[in-house]
Amino acid sequence: MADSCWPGRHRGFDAVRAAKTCLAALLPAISGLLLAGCWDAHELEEYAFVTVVGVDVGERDDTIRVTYQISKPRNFASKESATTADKATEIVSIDTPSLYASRNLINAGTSRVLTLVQAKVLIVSEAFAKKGNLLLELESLVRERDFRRDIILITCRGKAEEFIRSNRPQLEKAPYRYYELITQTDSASGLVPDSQLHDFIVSSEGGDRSALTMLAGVREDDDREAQTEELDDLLAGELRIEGKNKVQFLGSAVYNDQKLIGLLTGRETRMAQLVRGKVKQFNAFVPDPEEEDKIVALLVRQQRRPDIRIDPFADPIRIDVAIDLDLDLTGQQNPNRRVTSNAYIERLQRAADERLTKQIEEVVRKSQEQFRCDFFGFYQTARQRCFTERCWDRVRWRERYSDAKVEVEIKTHIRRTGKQLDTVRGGNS
Amino acid sequence: MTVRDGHIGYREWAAFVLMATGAKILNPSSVVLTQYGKEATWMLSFAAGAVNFAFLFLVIRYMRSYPGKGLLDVIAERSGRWLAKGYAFALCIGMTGNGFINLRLLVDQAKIVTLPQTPVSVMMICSLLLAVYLAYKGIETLSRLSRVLLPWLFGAIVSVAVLMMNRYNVHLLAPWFGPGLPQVAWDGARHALYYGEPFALTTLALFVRTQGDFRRGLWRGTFYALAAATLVIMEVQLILGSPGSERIAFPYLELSRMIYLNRFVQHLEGVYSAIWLLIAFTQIAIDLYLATFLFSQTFAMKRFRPLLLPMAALFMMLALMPSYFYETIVWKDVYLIQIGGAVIYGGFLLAWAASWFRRGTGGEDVSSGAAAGD
Repeated sequence: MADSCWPGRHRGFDAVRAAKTCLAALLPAISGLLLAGCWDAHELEEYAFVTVVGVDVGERDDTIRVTYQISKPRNFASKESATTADKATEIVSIDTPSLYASRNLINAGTSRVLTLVQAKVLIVSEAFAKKGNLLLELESLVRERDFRRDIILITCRGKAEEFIRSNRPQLEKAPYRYYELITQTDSASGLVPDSQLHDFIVSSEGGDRSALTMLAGVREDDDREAQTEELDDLLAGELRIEGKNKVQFLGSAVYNDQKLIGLLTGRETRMAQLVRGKVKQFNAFVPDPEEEDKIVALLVRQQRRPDIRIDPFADPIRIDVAIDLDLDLTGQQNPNRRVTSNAYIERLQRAADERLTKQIEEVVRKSQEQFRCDFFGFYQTARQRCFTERCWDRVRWRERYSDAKVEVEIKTHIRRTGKQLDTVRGGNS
Repeated sequence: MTVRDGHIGYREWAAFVLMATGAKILNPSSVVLTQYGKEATWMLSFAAGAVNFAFLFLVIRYMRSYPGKGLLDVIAERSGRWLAKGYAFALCIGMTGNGFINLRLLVDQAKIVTLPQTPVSVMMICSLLLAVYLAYKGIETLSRLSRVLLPWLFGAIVSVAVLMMNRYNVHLLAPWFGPGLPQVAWDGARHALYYGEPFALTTLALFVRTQGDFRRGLWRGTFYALAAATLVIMEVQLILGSPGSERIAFPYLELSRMIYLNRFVQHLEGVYSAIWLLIAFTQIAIDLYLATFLFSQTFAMKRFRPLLLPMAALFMMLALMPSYFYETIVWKDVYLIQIGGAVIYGGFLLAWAASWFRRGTGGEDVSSGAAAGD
């Protein structure tokens, strides 16, 4: 035993042997007990996978109407070209006192156990969201083990159930894939905000308790014309798009204290996203600075985050926003214009600066006067000026934001003119 | 026999220290700190670590002239046999508390997130059987196992940190000092025992090959554990903010569920859960080993192995006591860390003071540690 690490070992010590014997006897007994059943073993065929959850106000005041879109994975794999999203899913709705109870109740008519483990989208109706306490209403879902915080949260105009039933994606078989791809357009166009439940929770719990979600709607079969000259200045459901799928995602829903307080159009959302530094690129039109009836098309790229400086201790609060944007000239209607002219480029930049600044200022004014909440997230920068929570409490951001003096400065730089150096013209031009 | 023969080396020892101290970053323990530190929880974590390091420095100094001896042997020699026994018993209670709370947190986490139908008692029995087996094999096996699992632990932490980088929001760390710097420092000091496992580990000095290895392993293992834990806490703050991070029961698992890759590789979090389970079992085995070892030291028993099963049964009985999940966290915070910290740090200071009084008179050696290696 001289080389042993364990110098206390003695031959014939009964306690050790007894312990070994006991353990040896116990192990098969306990293993038998454990191997006899696996409590949480389930076959995939036992489950119905919910991919979309819709929540509406119920028929009675104390109920909510829950809609589940359940995937039929077998139909996704079908090679039939005719298999579309509505064939690949089953939609069920129920009036129930709570979200949590709804799944058990739905099982009264469904053979498989509903699980939210694959849930990707949560759609709440405008009416439900206006009741307030959205997170409290959805509390059981957030607490649910199957549910993920990266689920997409959408506010829809009209009823969520109708929206889910009206959605007929033509390019995707699986509805969850459709929603995933649609939400990825947020940074590509800026017309809808990034809209995950996690972001909503963090914003709602944060310093200003306001948040944005994606806005969806169904285009009605009527002859409504767009109410505005600019097509991006509309809400979801108002844009005229000819096609089989009538659902649209455009604009955003503004929440304050978990209550829906208003809507932003697509353009307003884009401006808000610009200030938040969350747009990668979008197409914009600027009237030709020298001929107002002609327009110039620009591809706007936000390659740097906005420079936001805030003095939360000033009275009123002072907010300076400086946004640098890179532009590509992608089209212009004047055949005689030479876009290689430096003077023209400078005039165009100034026109773009003024136009975008004006649009952003309008949204900022709306946030201060109409909504009285900071959905841009300025408070996040302001908090950095405070070292302690007590100091932040003294700032009284929520009360004072609507009186804040906000200065916006946009600086655009036209960098490229596409593949053409000059305008394409006919031989006689 | 000499102390060098067959003993664990520096790497195994450091891995053992790191695993014993740092494995808690994968369970809900950090909630204990976030509810005090708010946005500055990562600073509070560092403050707790700093206070712990200061005491550890004193312990190392106290043990300096006694190579090859554990803390209890040194206390017995310098401060008196009964003080050594009392301190061993206090450490034993601490490790028992740590063990049963870790067991309960493991089982609750598994019950809530993964296995809702499986009875709690079955999960506890399974975990403890594995822990008993590992603890039965002794410190050498546990150290080597820790060394094997170490890359997995760091891999899990670093990969989550990298994969979640797109969600980091530095603004969520403001206001930078949260409830205020004095408050953070005070709460950090009160929670120093959050990283207190190395205190119990100093009793195992005689199992490490050289005194230098023991010291280096203890310092580095504790420091890396502190750095890793603080990194995870900061990561949670950067993503969930405050008060979000105070309201999340399982911060690490919640983060792993939010990884963007989950959209393509369904349930990537399963991989992280598997790593968490492996590390959690090892952590409970280490707690069980230490609790049993310290109990045998208290009562001068020559072997600790026969005590493993009864100690595991005690772990299970105690783990069943908290009536609900959050109560376990409160127990850990109030009884184990805050009150326990006063006892462990105070006990050591008492022993130090006693050694000054007894200086020159010599003391009895109860060095049963070697025998307890059994």
